[in-house]
Amino acid sequence: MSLYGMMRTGVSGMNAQANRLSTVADNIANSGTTGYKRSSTEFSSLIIPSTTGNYTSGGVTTTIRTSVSQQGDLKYTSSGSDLAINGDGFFVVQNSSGTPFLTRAGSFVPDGNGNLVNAAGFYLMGYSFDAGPPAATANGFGGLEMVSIAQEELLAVPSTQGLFTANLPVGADPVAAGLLPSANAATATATQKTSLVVYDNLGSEVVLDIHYTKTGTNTWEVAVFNQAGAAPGAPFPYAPGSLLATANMTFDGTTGALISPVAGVNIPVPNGVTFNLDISKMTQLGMEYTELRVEANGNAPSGIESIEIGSDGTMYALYENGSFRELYRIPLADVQSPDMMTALPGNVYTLSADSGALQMGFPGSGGLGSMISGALENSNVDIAEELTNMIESQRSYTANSKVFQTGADLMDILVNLKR
Amino acid sequence: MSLSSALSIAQSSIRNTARQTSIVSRNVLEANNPDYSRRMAVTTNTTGARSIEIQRAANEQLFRQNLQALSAWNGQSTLYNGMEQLNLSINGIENGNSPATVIGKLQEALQLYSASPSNRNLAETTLDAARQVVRTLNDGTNAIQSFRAVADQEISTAVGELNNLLADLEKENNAVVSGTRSGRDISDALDQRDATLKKIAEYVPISTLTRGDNDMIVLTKDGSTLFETVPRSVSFTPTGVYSPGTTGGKVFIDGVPIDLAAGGNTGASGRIAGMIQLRDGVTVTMQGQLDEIARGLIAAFAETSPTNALPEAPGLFTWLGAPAMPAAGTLVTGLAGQIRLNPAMDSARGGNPELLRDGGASGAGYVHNTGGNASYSGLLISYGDRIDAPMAFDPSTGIESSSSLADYSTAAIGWFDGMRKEASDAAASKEALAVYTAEALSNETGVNIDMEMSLLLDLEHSYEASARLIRAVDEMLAALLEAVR
Amino acid sequence: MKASFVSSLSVSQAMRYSTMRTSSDLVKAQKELDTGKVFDSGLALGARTVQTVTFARDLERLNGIVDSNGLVSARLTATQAALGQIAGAAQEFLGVLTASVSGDAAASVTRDSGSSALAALTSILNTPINGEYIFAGINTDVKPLDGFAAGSPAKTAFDAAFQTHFGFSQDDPAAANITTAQMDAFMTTALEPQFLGAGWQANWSNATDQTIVSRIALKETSETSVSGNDDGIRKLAMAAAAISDLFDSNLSAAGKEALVNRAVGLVGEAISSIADLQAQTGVVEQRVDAASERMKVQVDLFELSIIETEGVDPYEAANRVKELLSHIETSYALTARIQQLSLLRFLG
Repeated sequence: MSLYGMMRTGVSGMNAQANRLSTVADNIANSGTTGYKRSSTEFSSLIIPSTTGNYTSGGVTTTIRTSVSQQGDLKYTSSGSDLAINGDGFFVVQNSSGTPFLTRAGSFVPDGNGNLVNAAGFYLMGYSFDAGPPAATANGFGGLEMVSIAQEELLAVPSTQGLFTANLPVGADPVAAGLLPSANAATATATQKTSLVVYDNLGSEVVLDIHYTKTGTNTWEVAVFNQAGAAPGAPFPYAPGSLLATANMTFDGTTGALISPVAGVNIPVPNGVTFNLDISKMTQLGMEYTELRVEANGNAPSGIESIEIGSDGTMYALYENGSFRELYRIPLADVQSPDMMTALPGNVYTLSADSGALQMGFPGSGGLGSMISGALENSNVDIAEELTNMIESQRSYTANSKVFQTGADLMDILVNLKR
Repeated sequence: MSLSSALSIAQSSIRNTARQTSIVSRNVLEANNPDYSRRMAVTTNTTGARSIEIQRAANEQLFRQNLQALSAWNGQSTLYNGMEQLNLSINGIENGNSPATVIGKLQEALQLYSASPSNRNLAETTLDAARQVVRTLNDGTNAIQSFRAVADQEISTAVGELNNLLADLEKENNAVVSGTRSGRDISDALDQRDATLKKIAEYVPISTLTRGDNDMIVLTKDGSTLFETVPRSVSFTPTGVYSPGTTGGKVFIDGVPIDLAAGGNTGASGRIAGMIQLRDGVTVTMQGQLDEIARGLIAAFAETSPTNALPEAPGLFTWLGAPAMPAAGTLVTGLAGQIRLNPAMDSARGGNPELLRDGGASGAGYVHNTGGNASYSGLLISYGDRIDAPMAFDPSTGIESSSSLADYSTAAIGWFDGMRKEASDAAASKEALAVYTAEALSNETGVNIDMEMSLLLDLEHSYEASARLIRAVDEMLAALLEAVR
Repeated sequence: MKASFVSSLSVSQAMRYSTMRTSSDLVKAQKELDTGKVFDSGLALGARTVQTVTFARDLERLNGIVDSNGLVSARLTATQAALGQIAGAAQEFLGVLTASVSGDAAASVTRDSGSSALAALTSILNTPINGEYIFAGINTDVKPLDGFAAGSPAKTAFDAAFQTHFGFSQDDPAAANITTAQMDAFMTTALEPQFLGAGWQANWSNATDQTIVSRIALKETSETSVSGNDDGIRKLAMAAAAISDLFDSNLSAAGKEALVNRAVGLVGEAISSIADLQAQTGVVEQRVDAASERMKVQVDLFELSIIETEGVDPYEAANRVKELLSHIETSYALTARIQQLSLLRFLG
């Protein structure tokens, strides 16, 4: 037992409370910081071995905990590039020197180069779709690159596949062989004409004129022309070379379903690839001509109009003509013990020895949370709790200082004994 | 749960209420816009807050019915209004200027003249009546042809407007598609697209087909493509000047011509088809009837030689093909525009009106009154009889082919008024249907201000409650801060 | 969420549409009330408009024929009067001739009566009615009789005939030797062709045998004049001319007797023939009047039919106007009430 020991214990108590007050100060200061995780202090006693009848006071040690795994409230915003994670997981970000970190602060905006950067200056990382749909590297940052939404990209996709479903009227009059559209005479007549837009390699629109002509009982001819070669007004006769494809259709006289060709019509689009038009669902029934489904893929070149991020982390570019394309997939990272990660400035965390190994995955899979676009995660600080802690620390500090003062007073008395 | 999160929930509630209020006020603002569909705020639950999704009231079935009714009404009313105009310009008020009426006047004058054939004044009066007949037929032809030219011009304008509307539709459709893909609120874009579809339906009857991402395909009623990704061209070459027998240009939609409709209760749907029926159907038949009346007049007043030695020749009325007679029973297109008074009888051009009594306008061989007797009435009476005598008319003009000239001319009025009545009745019922479907659609998708107001009351309450919550939390925190000293 | 929803727009729109329709109906009903006819007969009757147009036209034509029948009747009345005058003159002439036969009258009286009868006949036939010489057949712009004055073709031909037959002129003393048989022969062979044969048309008359034909009904025509070439007139002219020219010449008493006897016969025949003409003319007059009457009845019928097809009952029209007015008033009142019916008024 010693007075000095008691005084040191008081000092250690004061230090501990000062630490705690510091975390409270930090928490209150950052109560409005996006993605901020509150810190707390945990104390543990330091006891010096003593004998019976002799107590040597020890002290208190402080451990700082960060409540990383506790989710803050979601705050909805109007910016589509603001991201929040609902559930477990972290964004993978890197600083300007390329060191990777984890964070939940998702207030990303594009910088001058189109890279998405958050308020603390960290860049969002993702897997690119350039080489096809990406798969997450299970336990490392390999393959990640900075997510960029530079707006100058133009995109054109040639049409390859289409679907045309309609009913052809069974009661139509058959057309003589010489007058069939495939003969391309000026007097040619089609039972029904329609048209469809497809795209060539450069993304130019090519309008296909599709003529359905009844040739006999249960047989029809389909002839596909390039509309660019049509005569003004009435389409016939088309310029030479405009006939792209022709096929004979046979229908089942009982059910009205198409018997052949079930594989569809292959149409060589000028300056484009072969376009397969699926007509297998066509019918021939006693009803007037009715189109039921008309579809074709491909799109014309156009600039990026906006960026959308889905809840699975896929980032789409939405083009001006309404088509869209996947650009990146944003992964989430997680560790076994998020609370044990090392907190660094800018609401980022880095792996520590205690946090466990890194796991990468996509939002919504493998226990990871989903990604919410247009929302931010508030700090998980509760002011009331912090204030209560502060009052408690204050009182505790005062009590410790009293212990120290008592020790000092006793020392005074002791020193005054010798006079 | 913490005070902070209570605060943030109250905050989000206020934000939601504000958005809902903005939807209500938008609804009230657009309450009188027939193209506006009511928006509804639907709240969805997510963690820690509720967010708002906007839904738009729609009824596809009613909308389609409304489009069809609009097209039918526009086609019918175009036809009916055109026929009203034609009625005034061809037949005059209460048929006062119709060929039937002026032929009746000619018959009267002829009767009076035959009662005193020696009276030269009556000869002049008869010639005047004949001149009026010629003028009616000539003016009628001009009126019909200029009507066709105007209709042609209107078709051209309508086609231009239709192409503009299709171009608008492309923009609006793109807005809908990209909005759908990005999950934005596309209500406004849908409203605009529907409004444009209504306008298009006024010109041509349409049916629509929606594929992925709300992308729309617009087809005409007969299945030709009007819009698919891009607008198809609607082409028309105006003819400009019309004469009888001129065939007007066709309107091609994606290479398929719009057919000519028939009947008073017309199958023509949409303004363009209505105008085509006027230009190529109604007016062409009317012109044919005028031509047949003209041919009947030339035939009824033809001169014969007393000995039958000479062929018949045009008498009081003549034409460009004189001295030949127009072939019996066959329509001569444009004859009503060519018919003239015989100059040999027309005193205004130095002729002798009494040749009508005596015969001989085509030469001495045709003189019946060889003695030059002043009261010879035989020819005059026979002309009167021939107007009432049965005669073959071309059946292609829509009137029974064997009747007298007098009956044919009145039958022309009957044909026209019969069709006009049908058109008028059909226009009334089609208008009623269009109004009714618009009303039903409006009842489904429109705004009721009272309902919005009561919704607003709810919103006010929830706003008040949220605000009070915030104040309570504020007070609690203040109390806490009070404690820190 | 909603049981039956009514949008504010459709409430006001429906009201507007019905008011608009009622107003336009009101305009039509008012016009119908004013005119007593349907607003637009073409629209009301459709293809049946043919009937009203045909009725209206036939009505006008019938009225026209009735008017022209007035002209015809006037002509026939004048003809009848003229024929009466001729018959009177012939009667008078016959009286003088009869006296002469019995030897009571002086030769000059008989001769004067002949020339006065001829003058009367010429003047009556040559009197124009309405600018037409009604006895000229259809050649109505020329006097039918040229007259028997000295130098006229008729007189010259008469003289020539006498000269040719007897070899001397009327004034020749040789005329005093003409016997009864000779005179009779002269009358028969020389004078009859002059009057009853081709000589009449050549020397006496400009009239045509053909008479005026008129339409007196829609499907009926009739001869509506009398030609001066009628036998009665010719015989009267022959008797009068012969008496006036030959009676006071140097003619023998036997010749005179034969002449008078022959003249008496001719005038008698003329009188009965003219009476026949009068009767015929009367019949035609009757026909024309009857046709006019018939057509007037038809006109009335047509007018009735027109009213039936396109007329409107004035009471019904008046009632409709009243109904429409009250309808419009109701809908105005209703509109005003509905406009007030808004939650806004209660949300202070």
